[in-house]
Amino acid sequence: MGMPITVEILDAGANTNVFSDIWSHFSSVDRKYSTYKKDSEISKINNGLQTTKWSPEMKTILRLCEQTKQETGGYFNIIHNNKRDPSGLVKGWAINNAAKLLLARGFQNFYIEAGGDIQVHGLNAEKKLWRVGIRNPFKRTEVVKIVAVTTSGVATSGTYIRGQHIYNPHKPDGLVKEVASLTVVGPNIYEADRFATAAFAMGKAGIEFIESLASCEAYMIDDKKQAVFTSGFEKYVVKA
Amino acid sequence: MGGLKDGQYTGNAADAFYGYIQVKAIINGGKITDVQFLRYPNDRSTSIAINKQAMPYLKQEAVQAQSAQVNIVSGATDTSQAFIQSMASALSQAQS
Repeated sequence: MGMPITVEILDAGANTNVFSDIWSHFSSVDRKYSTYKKDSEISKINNGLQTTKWSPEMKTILRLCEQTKQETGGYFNIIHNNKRDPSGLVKGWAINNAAKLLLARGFQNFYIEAGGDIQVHGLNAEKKLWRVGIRNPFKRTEVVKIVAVTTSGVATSGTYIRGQHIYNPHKPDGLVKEVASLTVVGPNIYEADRFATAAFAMGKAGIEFIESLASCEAYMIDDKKQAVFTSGFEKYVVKA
Repeated sequence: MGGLKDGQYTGNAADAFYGYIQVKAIINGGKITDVQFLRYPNDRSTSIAINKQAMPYLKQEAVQAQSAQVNIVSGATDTSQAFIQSMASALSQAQS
Protein backbone atom coordinates (compact mmCIF):
# COMPACT_ATOMS: atom_id res chain seq x y z
CA MET A 1 0.00 0.00 0.00
CA GLY A 2 2.32 2.78 1.16
CA MET A 3 -0.11 5.62 0.70
CA PRO A 4 -1.28 8.60 2.75
CA ILE A 5 -4.23 7.91 5.05
CA THR A 6 -6.62 10.52 6.44
CA VAL A 7 -9.13 9.91 9.19
CA GLU A 8 -11.60 12.45 10.50
CA ILE A 9 -13.90 11.61 13.42
CA LEU A 10 -16.53 14.14 14.42
CA ASP A 11 -17.99 12.37 17.44
CA ALA A 12 -16.73 13.17 20.91
CA GLY A 13 -14.38 10.68 22.50
CA ALA A 14 -11.90 10.25 19.65
CA ASN A 15 -8.49 10.21 21.35
CA THR A 16 -4.98 9.38 20.20
CA ASN A 17 -5.48 5.69 21.06
CA VAL A 18 -8.20 5.38 18.42
CA PHE A 19 -5.97 6.88 15.76
CA SER A 20 -3.01 4.71 16.85
CA ASP A 21 -5.16 1.65 16.44
CA ILE A 22 -6.18 2.76 12.96
CA TRP A 23 -2.57 3.34 11.92
CA SER A 24 -1.56 -0.05 13.41
CA HIS A 25 -4.31 -1.72 11.43
CA PHE A 26 -3.11 -0.21 8.14
CA SER A 27 0.52 -0.96 9.01
CA SER A 28 -0.22 -4.58 9.59
CA VAL A 29 -2.17 -4.79 6.33
CA ASP A 30 0.78 -3.23 4.51
CA ARG A 31 3.26 -5.61 6.19
CA LYS A 32 1.28 -8.57 4.97
CA TYR A 33 0.05 -7.52 1.52
CA SER A 34 2.61 -5.10 0.12
CA THR A 35 4.30 -6.54 -2.95
CA TYR A 36 7.01 -3.91 -2.45
CA LYS A 37 8.10 -5.50 0.83
CA LYS A 38 10.32 -8.55 0.28
CA ASP A 39 9.31 -10.11 3.59
CA SER A 40 5.56 -9.55 3.31
CA GLU A 41 3.42 -12.66 3.28
CA ILE A 42 2.31 -11.96 -0.30
CA SER A 43 5.94 -11.64 -1.44
CA LYS A 44 6.81 -14.91 0.26
CA ILE A 45 3.85 -16.54 -1.47
CA ASN A 46 5.00 -15.11 -4.78
CA ASN A 47 8.41 -16.61 -4.08
CA GLY A 48 6.97 -20.06 -3.54
CA LEU A 49 5.84 -20.30 0.10
CA GLN A 50 3.88 -23.53 0.45
CA THR A 51 0.11 -23.20 0.90
CA THR A 52 0.16 -24.93 4.29
CA LYS A 53 2.01 -21.88 5.59
CA TRP A 54 -0.45 -19.29 4.29
CA SER A 55 -2.37 -17.40 6.98
CA PRO A 56 -6.17 -17.90 7.18
CA GLU A 57 -6.67 -14.21 6.45
CA MET A 58 -4.53 -14.44 3.30
CA LYS A 59 -6.56 -17.42 2.14
CA THR A 60 -9.72 -15.38 2.73
CA ILE A 61 -8.35 -12.47 0.70
CA LEU A 62 -7.31 -14.73 -2.17
CA ARG A 63 -10.73 -16.37 -2.11
CA LEU A 64 -12.40 -12.94 -2.27
CA CYS A 65 -10.14 -12.07 -5.20
CA GLU A 66 -11.13 -15.24 -7.02
CA GLN A 67 -14.81 -14.53 -6.33
CA THR A 68 -14.40 -10.99 -7.66
CA LYS A 69 -12.69 -12.39 -10.74
CA GLN A 70 -15.72 -14.61 -11.38
CA GLU A 71 -18.14 -11.74 -10.87
CA THR A 72 -16.29 -9.54 -13.35
CA GLY A 73 -15.72 -11.92 -16.24
CA GLY A 74 -12.05 -12.23 -15.37
CA TYR A 75 -11.39 -8.49 -15.50
CA PHE A 76 -10.45 -8.43 -11.83
CA ASN A 77 -7.26 -10.43 -12.01
CA ILE A 78 -4.53 -10.25 -9.40
CA ILE A 79 -1.90 -12.04 -11.49
CA HIS A 80 0.59 -9.70 -13.21
CA ASN A 81 3.88 -10.98 -14.59
CA ASN A 82 3.20 -14.32 -12.86
CA LYS A 83 2.96 -12.67 -9.43
CA ARG A 84 -0.11 -12.15 -7.27
CA ASP A 85 -0.96 -8.56 -6.35
CA PRO A 86 -4.26 -8.34 -4.47
CA SER A 87 -3.98 -4.60 -3.74
CA GLY A 88 -7.00 -3.78 -5.94
CA LEU A 89 -9.17 -5.53 -3.35
CA VAL A 90 -7.07 -5.23 -0.18
CA LYS A 91 -7.17 -1.43 -0.14
CA GLY A 92 -10.97 -1.22 0.02
CA TRP A 93 -11.14 -4.22 2.36
CA ALA A 94 -8.64 -2.59 4.76
CA ILE A 95 -10.43 0.76 4.79
CA ASN A 96 -13.74 -1.01 5.34
CA ASN A 97 -12.26 -2.93 8.29
CA ALA A 98 -10.90 0.30 9.76
CA ALA A 99 -14.42 1.75 9.53
CA LYS A 100 -15.80 -1.33 11.33
CA LEU A 101 -13.21 -0.73 14.06
CA LEU A 102 -14.57 2.80 14.55
CA LEU A 103 -18.21 1.68 14.44
CA ALA A 104 -17.46 -0.97 17.07
CA ARG A 105 -16.23 1.81 19.35
CA GLY A 106 -19.44 3.76 18.91
CA PHE A 107 -18.26 6.38 16.41
CA GLN A 108 -20.89 7.27 13.83
CA ASN A 109 -19.76 10.38 12.00
CA PHE A 110 -16.41 9.96 10.31
CA TYR A 111 -14.53 9.24 7.15
CA ILE A 112 -11.43 7.23 6.37
CA GLU A 113 -9.51 8.00 3.20
CA ALA A 114 -6.55 6.01 1.92
CA GLY A 115 -4.97 6.68 -1.44
CA GLY A 116 -8.04 8.44 -2.81
CA ASP A 117 -10.52 5.75 -1.73
CA ILE A 118 -13.00 6.76 0.94
CA GLN A 119 -15.45 5.25 3.39
CA VAL A 120 -17.87 7.75 4.97
CA HIS A 121 -20.32 7.28 7.81
CA GLY A 122 -23.00 9.57 9.16
CA LEU A 123 -22.81 13.30 8.51
CA ASN A 124 -20.20 16.01 8.22
CA ALA A 125 -19.52 18.88 10.65
CA GLU A 126 -22.43 20.85 9.16
CA LYS A 127 -24.67 17.84 9.94
CA LYS A 128 -25.12 17.30 6.21
CA LEU A 129 -24.12 14.53 3.83
CA TRP A 130 -20.37 14.25 3.31
CA ARG A 131 -19.29 16.13 0.20
CA VAL A 132 -16.80 14.13 -1.82
CA GLY A 133 -15.10 15.73 -4.80
CA ILE A 134 -13.90 13.76 -7.81
CA ARG A 135 -10.47 14.95 -8.83
CA ASN A 136 -9.84 16.05 -12.40
CA PRO A 137 -7.44 13.39 -13.70
CA PHE A 138 -5.84 16.04 -15.94
CA LYS A 139 -5.46 18.72 -13.28
CA ARG A 140 -5.04 17.44 -9.76
CA THR A 141 -5.81 20.79 -8.12
CA GLU A 142 -9.29 20.74 -9.63
CA VAL A 143 -12.48 18.93 -8.68
CA VAL A 144 -14.85 18.13 -11.55
CA LYS A 145 -17.79 16.55 -9.76
CA ILE A 146 -19.14 16.63 -6.23
CA VAL A 147 -21.21 13.87 -4.65
CA ALA A 148 -23.05 14.03 -1.34
CA VAL A 149 -23.01 10.70 0.50
CA THR A 150 -23.56 8.99 3.83
CA THR A 151 -22.47 5.48 4.82
CA SER A 152 -20.96 4.74 1.41
CA GLY A 153 -17.70 3.94 -0.26
CA VAL A 154 -16.20 6.08 -3.02
CA ALA A 155 -13.32 4.57 -4.97
CA THR A 156 -11.48 5.99 -7.97
CA SER A 157 -9.34 3.94 -10.32
CA GLY A 158 -7.21 5.79 -12.76
CA THR A 159 -3.88 6.37 -14.35
CA TYR A 160 -3.18 10.08 -14.61
CA ILE A 161 -0.01 10.48 -16.58
CA ARG A 162 2.21 8.08 -14.71
CA GLY A 163 1.54 5.31 -12.24
CA GLN A 164 -0.08 3.03 -14.81
CA HIS A 165 -0.88 0.08 -12.62
CA ILE A 166 -4.09 -1.47 -13.87
CA TYR A 167 -3.88 -4.04 -16.59
CA ASN A 168 -6.47 -5.44 -18.92
CA PRO A 169 -5.90 -9.16 -18.53
CA HIS A 170 -7.67 -9.88 -21.80
CA LYS A 171 -5.56 -7.65 -24.03
CA PRO A 172 -2.03 -8.42 -25.30
CA ASP A 173 -0.21 -5.25 -24.26
CA GLY A 174 -2.25 -5.18 -21.10
CA LEU A 175 -2.41 -1.47 -20.33
CA VAL A 176 -5.64 0.51 -20.03
CA LYS A 177 -5.37 3.80 -21.91
CA GLU A 178 -8.75 5.18 -22.99
CA VAL A 179 -10.19 5.82 -19.54
CA ALA A 180 -8.49 8.46 -17.41
CA SER A 181 -10.46 7.74 -14.26
CA LEU A 182 -13.45 5.78 -13.04
CA THR A 183 -15.13 6.63 -9.74
CA VAL A 184 -17.50 4.14 -8.16
CA VAL A 185 -19.98 4.97 -5.38
CA GLY A 186 -21.02 1.81 -3.56
CA PRO A 187 -22.63 0.62 -0.33
CA ASN A 188 -19.14 0.40 1.20
CA ILE A 189 -15.57 0.94 0.10
CA TYR A 190 -14.83 -2.81 -0.19
CA GLU A 191 -17.48 -3.14 -2.94
CA ALA A 192 -16.64 0.19 -4.57
CA ASP A 193 -12.91 -0.53 -4.70
CA ARG A 194 -12.99 -4.06 -6.11
CA PHE A 195 -15.53 -3.08 -8.77
CA ALA A 196 -13.70 0.14 -9.64
CA THR A 197 -10.53 -1.91 -10.17
CA ALA A 198 -12.30 -4.45 -12.40
CA ALA A 199 -14.38 -1.90 -14.29
CA PHE A 200 -11.33 0.24 -15.03
CA ALA A 201 -9.61 -2.75 -16.61
CA MET A 202 -12.60 -3.09 -18.96
CA GLY A 203 -11.88 0.28 -20.57
CA LYS A 204 -14.92 2.20 -21.76
CA ALA A 205 -17.13 -0.86 -21.24
CA GLY A 206 -16.49 -0.61 -17.51
CA ILE A 207 -19.21 1.98 -17.01
CA GLU A 208 -21.72 -0.49 -18.53
CA PHE A 209 -20.58 -3.11 -16.07
CA ILE A 210 -21.25 -0.78 -13.13
CA GLU A 211 -24.64 0.08 -14.70
CA SER A 212 -25.45 -3.63 -14.49
CA LEU A 213 -24.88 -3.64 -10.72
CA ALA A 214 -27.90 -2.60 -8.67
CA SER A 215 -25.74 -1.54 -5.75
CA CYS A 216 -23.18 0.75 -7.42
CA GLU A 217 -23.06 3.91 -9.52
CA ALA A 218 -20.10 5.36 -11.37
CA TYR A 219 -18.64 8.38 -13.14
CA MET A 220 -16.08 7.73 -15.85
CA ILE A 221 -13.78 10.35 -17.39
CA ASP A 222 -12.19 9.44 -20.72
CA ASP A 223 -8.96 10.58 -22.30
CA LYS A 224 -10.88 13.32 -24.15
CA LYS A 225 -12.28 14.83 -20.94
CA GLN A 226 -15.77 13.52 -21.60
CA ALA A 227 -17.66 11.93 -18.76
CA VAL A 228 -20.11 9.04 -18.92
CA PHE A 229 -22.10 8.15 -15.83
CA THR A 230 -24.57 5.49 -14.78
CA SER A 231 -28.30 6.14 -14.75
CA GLY A 232 -28.52 6.28 -10.95
CA PHE A 233 -25.43 8.44 -10.38
CA GLU A 234 -27.24 11.79 -10.45
CA LYS A 235 -28.97 11.18 -7.14
CA TYR A 236 -25.57 11.73 -5.48
CA VAL A 237 -24.57 14.83 -7.42
CA VAL A 238 -24.28 18.22 -5.75
CA LYS A 239 -25.07 20.86 -8.33
CA ALA A 240 -22.66 23.70 -7.72
CA MET B 1 -41.00 5.31 -30.07
CA GLY B 2 -43.61 4.25 -32.63
CA GLY B 3 -43.63 2.52 -35.99
CA LEU B 4 -42.34 -0.89 -34.82
CA LYS B 5 -43.95 -4.12 -35.99
CA ASP B 6 -45.79 -5.98 -33.23
CA GLY B 7 -44.29 -9.25 -32.06
CA GLN B 8 -41.43 -10.72 -30.03
CA TYR B 9 -37.90 -10.27 -31.25
CA THR B 10 -34.78 -11.98 -29.87
CA GLY B 11 -31.53 -10.15 -30.41
CA ASN B 12 -28.15 -11.74 -31.04
CA ALA B 13 -26.02 -12.52 -28.02
CA ALA B 14 -23.58 -9.62 -27.81
CA ASP B 15 -20.17 -9.77 -26.22
CA ALA B 16 -20.18 -7.11 -23.52
CA PHE B 17 -16.58 -7.83 -22.45
CA TYR B 18 -17.73 -9.08 -19.09
CA GLY B 19 -20.05 -11.70 -20.54
CA TYR B 20 -22.90 -11.90 -22.99
CA ILE B 21 -26.09 -9.90 -23.17
CA GLN B 22 -29.08 -11.12 -25.12
CA VAL B 23 -32.43 -9.37 -25.06
CA LYS B 24 -35.90 -10.08 -26.28
CA ALA B 25 -38.06 -7.09 -27.11
CA ILE B 26 -41.83 -7.31 -27.08
CA ILE B 27 -43.57 -4.86 -29.38
CA ASN B 28 -47.22 -4.04 -28.96
CA GLY B 29 -49.10 -1.26 -30.69
CA GLY B 30 -45.93 -0.22 -32.43
CA LYS B 31 -44.09 0.38 -29.15
CA ILE B 32 -41.73 -1.54 -26.90
CA THR B 33 -43.87 -2.78 -24.05
CA ASP B 34 -41.39 -5.18 -22.48
CA VAL B 35 -37.74 -6.14 -22.64
CA GLN B 36 -36.50 -9.46 -21.31
CA PHE B 37 -32.89 -10.31 -20.64
CA LEU B 38 -32.30 -13.83 -21.92
CA ARG B 39 -28.62 -13.69 -21.04
CA TYR B 40 -26.99 -11.38 -18.57
CA PRO B 41 -23.28 -11.30 -17.70
CA ASN B 42 -23.80 -11.00 -13.97
CA ASP B 43 -24.84 -14.46 -12.78
CA ARG B 44 -25.21 -13.47 -9.14
CA SER B 45 -28.64 -13.74 -7.63
CA THR B 46 -29.02 -9.93 -7.50
CA SER B 47 -32.10 -9.18 -9.50
CA ILE B 48 -31.94 -6.47 -12.09
CA ALA B 49 -35.10 -4.39 -12.23
CA ILE B 50 -36.10 -3.35 -15.74
CA ASN B 51 -38.39 -0.37 -15.95
CA LYS B 52 -40.97 -0.95 -18.65
CA GLN B 53 -40.97 2.68 -19.71
CA ALA B 54 -37.25 3.17 -19.97
CA MET B 55 -34.27 0.86 -19.81
CA PRO B 56 -31.35 1.97 -17.66
CA TYR B 57 -29.16 4.15 -19.82
CA LEU B 58 -25.86 5.92 -19.50
CA LYS B 59 -25.52 9.69 -19.63
CA GLN B 60 -22.78 11.93 -20.92
CA GLU B 61 -21.39 15.34 -20.24
CA ALA B 62 -18.25 17.38 -20.68
CA VAL B 63 -16.13 17.50 -17.54
CA GLN B 64 -16.46 20.83 -15.70
CA ALA B 65 -14.51 22.34 -12.84
CA GLN B 66 -16.56 22.69 -9.65
CA SER B 67 -15.97 25.61 -7.33
CA ALA B 68 -18.09 24.53 -4.35
CA GLN B 69 -16.50 23.33 -1.13
CA VAL B 70 -15.87 19.66 -0.51
CA ASN B 71 -14.95 17.69 2.61
CA ILE B 72 -12.81 15.06 0.90
CA VAL B 73 -11.41 14.37 -2.58
CA SER B 74 -11.40 11.01 -4.35
CA GLY B 75 -8.83 10.42 -7.03
CA ALA B 76 -6.42 7.81 -8.28
CA THR B 77 -3.16 7.72 -6.37
CA ASP B 78 -0.37 9.41 -8.19
CA THR B 79 2.30 8.69 -5.64
CA SER B 80 2.54 4.95 -5.78
CA GLN B 81 5.18 3.04 -3.89
CA ALA B 82 6.78 2.09 -7.20
CA PHE B 83 7.12 5.72 -8.15
CA ILE B 84 8.77 6.53 -4.83
CA GLN B 85 11.23 3.65 -5.19
CA SER B 86 12.02 4.51 -8.77
CA MET B 87 12.50 8.16 -7.92
CA ALA B 88 14.74 7.22 -4.99
CA SER B 89 17.01 5.10 -7.18
CA ALA B 90 17.14 7.81 -9.85
CA LEU B 91 18.05 10.43 -7.27
CA SER B 92 20.71 8.21 -5.77
CA GLN B 93 22.27 7.91 -9.23
CA ALA B 94 21.97 11.63 -9.68
CA GLN B 95 23.90 12.09 -6.50
CA SER B 96 26.73 9.68 -7.30
